[in-house]
Amino acid sequence: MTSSSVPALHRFDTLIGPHVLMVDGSRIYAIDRGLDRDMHDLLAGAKPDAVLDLLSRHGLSAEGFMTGDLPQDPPMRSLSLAVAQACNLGCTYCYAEQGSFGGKAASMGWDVARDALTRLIDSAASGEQVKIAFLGGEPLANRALIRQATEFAVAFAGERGVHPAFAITTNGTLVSPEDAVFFARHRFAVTVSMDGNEEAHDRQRPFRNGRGSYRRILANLAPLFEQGEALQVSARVTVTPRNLALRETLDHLIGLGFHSVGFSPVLKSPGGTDEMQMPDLDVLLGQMVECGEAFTAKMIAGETYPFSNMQTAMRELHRGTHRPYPCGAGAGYFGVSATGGLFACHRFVEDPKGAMGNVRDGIDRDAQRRWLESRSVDQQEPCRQCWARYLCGGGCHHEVIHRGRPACDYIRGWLHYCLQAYVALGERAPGLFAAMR
Amino acid sequence: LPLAINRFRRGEEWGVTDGTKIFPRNLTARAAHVVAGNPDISRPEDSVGNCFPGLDMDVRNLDRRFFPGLVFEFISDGDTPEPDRLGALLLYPDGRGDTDLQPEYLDQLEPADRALIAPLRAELFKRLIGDLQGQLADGTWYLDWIEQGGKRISTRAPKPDNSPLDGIVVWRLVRGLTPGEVSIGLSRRGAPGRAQRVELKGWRRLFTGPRTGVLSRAYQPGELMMSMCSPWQHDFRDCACHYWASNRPDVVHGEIEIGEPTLPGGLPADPVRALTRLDWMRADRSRAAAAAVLNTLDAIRPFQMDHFQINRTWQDLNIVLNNTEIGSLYLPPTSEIAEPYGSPAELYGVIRDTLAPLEMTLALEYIYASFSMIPRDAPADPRWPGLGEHAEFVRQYLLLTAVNEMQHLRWANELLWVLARTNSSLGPYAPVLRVAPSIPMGPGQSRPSALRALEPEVLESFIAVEEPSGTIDGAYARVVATLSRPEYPPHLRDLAGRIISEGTEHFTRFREIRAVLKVYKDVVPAPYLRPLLLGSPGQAAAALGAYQAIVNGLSSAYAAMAVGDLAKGGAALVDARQAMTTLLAAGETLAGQNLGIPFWPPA
Repeated sequence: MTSSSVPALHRFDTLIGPHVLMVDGSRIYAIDRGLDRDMHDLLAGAKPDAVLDLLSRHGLSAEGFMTGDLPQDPPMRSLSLAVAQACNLGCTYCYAEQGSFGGKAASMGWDVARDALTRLIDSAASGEQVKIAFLGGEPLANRALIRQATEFAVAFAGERGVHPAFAITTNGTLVSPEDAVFFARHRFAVTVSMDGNEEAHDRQRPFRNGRGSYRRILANLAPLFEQGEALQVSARVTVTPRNLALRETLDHLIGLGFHSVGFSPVLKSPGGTDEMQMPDLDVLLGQMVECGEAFTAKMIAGETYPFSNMQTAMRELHRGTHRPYPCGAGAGYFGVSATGGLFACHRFVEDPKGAMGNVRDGIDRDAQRRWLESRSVDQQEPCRQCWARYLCGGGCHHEVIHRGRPACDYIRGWLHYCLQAYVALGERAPGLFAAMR
Repeated sequence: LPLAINRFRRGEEWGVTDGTKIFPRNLTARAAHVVAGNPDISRPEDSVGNCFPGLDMDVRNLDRRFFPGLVFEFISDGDTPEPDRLGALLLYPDGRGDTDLQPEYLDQLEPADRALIAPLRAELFKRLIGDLQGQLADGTWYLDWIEQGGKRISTRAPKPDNSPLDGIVVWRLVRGLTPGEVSIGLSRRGAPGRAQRVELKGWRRLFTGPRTGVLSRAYQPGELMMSMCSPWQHDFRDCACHYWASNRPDVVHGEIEIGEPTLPGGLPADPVRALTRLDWMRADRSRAAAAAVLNTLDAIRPFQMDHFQINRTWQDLNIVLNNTEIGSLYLPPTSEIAEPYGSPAELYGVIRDTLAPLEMTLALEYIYASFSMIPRDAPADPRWPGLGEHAEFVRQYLLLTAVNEMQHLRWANELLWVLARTNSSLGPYAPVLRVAPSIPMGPGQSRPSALRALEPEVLESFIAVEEPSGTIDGAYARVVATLSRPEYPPHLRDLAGRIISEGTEHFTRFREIRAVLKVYKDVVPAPYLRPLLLGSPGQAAAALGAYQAIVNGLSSAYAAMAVGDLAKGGAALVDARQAMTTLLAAGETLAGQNLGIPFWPPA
């Protein structure tokens, strides 16, 4: 018996005995073998209610955390500004279609950025944090606006006692030493898109003229890394069927000096190019687990290994994060288009399916309510029957709406592995969680 | 839980030995995990506890076992009248029963505690189950002194007094001990012959297990809570610390039943019901048994819920609003809608020309009628047992109501002088102390003002004039409506409102008089009446002199108060009150001659 599950729970084995994830509340329990045998018999007999009865007799309730209540008009907490809807690269899989989101290339004007940031900071109370991300296209194509917007946000938020946190996702080709100093001064979280070693990267992320971008980026990274602790520099690896050697990529990028490295597979691209298919996802899972095992070994040895997918998963499992959405899109988080439209997130920019008002008139609360109601994982099939629903949240809205859910087995497989790894690390590297709250 | 985790760390098979089947791993699982017992940070000493009454335990009960193997009782002067019995009485030695004296107890201890306690325990246990067992069981033993850290404290007052300290004082001394070694002395009181003393070395009990936070098993179930009150239940009866329910309702009007006729203001139309005050905590909750409350605490105690009953039925104690018990749905009384007077001048005219003279006239009519009642010491008539008491009751009610009307007369004047002060076109104010020639009896009707004995038809006319929503009431309702306007000072409206509500009380009182006199219905002449005739001014010279002194005194009192001279006004009022006493005495003398006071000449 390796695993068995019903919508309310997921049973899994570890090296130190059987465990169960109670889906509501994402609670993780060790159970003794006798109880596990009883549970197994009932599960084999397809009696989920009897299993829940059995557990409740041992003080384990199947519910108590998820209320089914929708967020009521949640306040705006973070924005991404598509400051430049244009890009100097020609990535094959880009959801933004080389930055323009399928339309005309555009640059955000000052008035749009100002209105967006004013609205964001106005909606926060003194002492609260807001998050501001600069995205594109390639955001540094509109460097002047990034600087002006950042300085405005710092000053205005300062007046209100609000704490702004900044982030930028860049292709790395336009980063200057001055940018590095500016980012460090404002404690930016910088994410650079890197798809592997030179060969793999250049295959997927060439300049529009076809030339590789790897060497240019590498040259630009040095001033970023020189900022040390002041600047968090992460690598984001977009995984396609053509760069599936994850472990190699991970070690390569950590070796370059990135403070964290994370993978995300392409499940949907505008023309279907480079989308991951079922066999690719199986390979991906194997690769992810291999990286996860490396992470676990390093943690037990007391070393560092900044594999961000794993770091995130361990933190969320330890907290018992449980949520009916995959992310804050359309709730507290919005993407702002160059012309000032509010969208459910950066991926939905210029997409009517995710339109949520604009920065001048504010959030379209009716559209938001419809979105939150329809996008809740409790409203999704087959998610309602899936044990992983409150960890996964139903999958990226953008990918689900445009392609469906081709990766559920991959996600469940990955979470199953993470649960096992969590239990192992809790026993063998407990210090890892001591600081997590 | 730490043990469980250690077993996990050792990779052992899990859960079968100690009944633990489930171990929470992540934060939500831990948060949802229900652990038996108190959190390990809770200590009995930190509880919201004190010794009287204590909220979750009585801390004295913790200290009665402060010394392992012995159980004390702290005896205070509230427990005994005998000074020799005060102090910490040894209830019984418990050497074999005390779990902290068993060898296994040491296993629960941290090394430092174990090192201290192990030798003490062995020696103490040996002595308590040895000779001492018989010795301490014989006679009455008290804690004589306690010693810790080289300091010994006696439980007796300093010499030469040397009397035993009160138990509560001894308890405070014991309370001051810290965990660690303690020596105590016990002495036998009241034994013949030479003094018997015992010294014991032990330790201050660790009230809770250092690892588990669980209370020492030496304490019996319920022991820490005994002597506590039961908040919200007994407290309604017994709370003496003015803390919980000391502001509970006391005497109340009974609940208004659905459909029961009521007067404006909400009291029952039935005068007996309206005038009967009930004990809120009465044991017999039936409506049939709703007897009037007695007037001292000692008298009502036997009729109140006892402890057992209040524990079971405290929910039956009613909510009380406006002095009236509310059983089910509370509907606030609706205020009647009245039409305001058209102008300040019209308002002023009505009070000056109609209402104030009316109050004066009714006061005099009621006083006159009160003198028509036979005296309490009238010769008993075997046909009418209780006649004298009934007559006295009626006389007191009439006088009470007359005094009320005098109060209203003063308020009517106050309305006038305040109105005149705030609106110069109305004044100047002059005291109104005159008799109205007639009493209004409904729309377009009136009767001549008349000084009459309390014949049945006279009583009916009194009831009619005081009837709620009748003439007087209606006029005051319009006064209230007018004074509710923002241009008038708000306290004037309250004054007028009180006149209305007291008028309702008059109506109820007169109808109770009718109920009391019902047994004499159709008996002619009415046995409760004197054959009173209106006296002549000459016959009543003394009474009329007093009456004139009252009018004069009130007149100068009102005039002085109208201009804010309270000292002069107060002095004049005192004169008027003394004249009132004279008037009542003179009136009684006249009544003895079957003569009434001619306050005004016959029509």
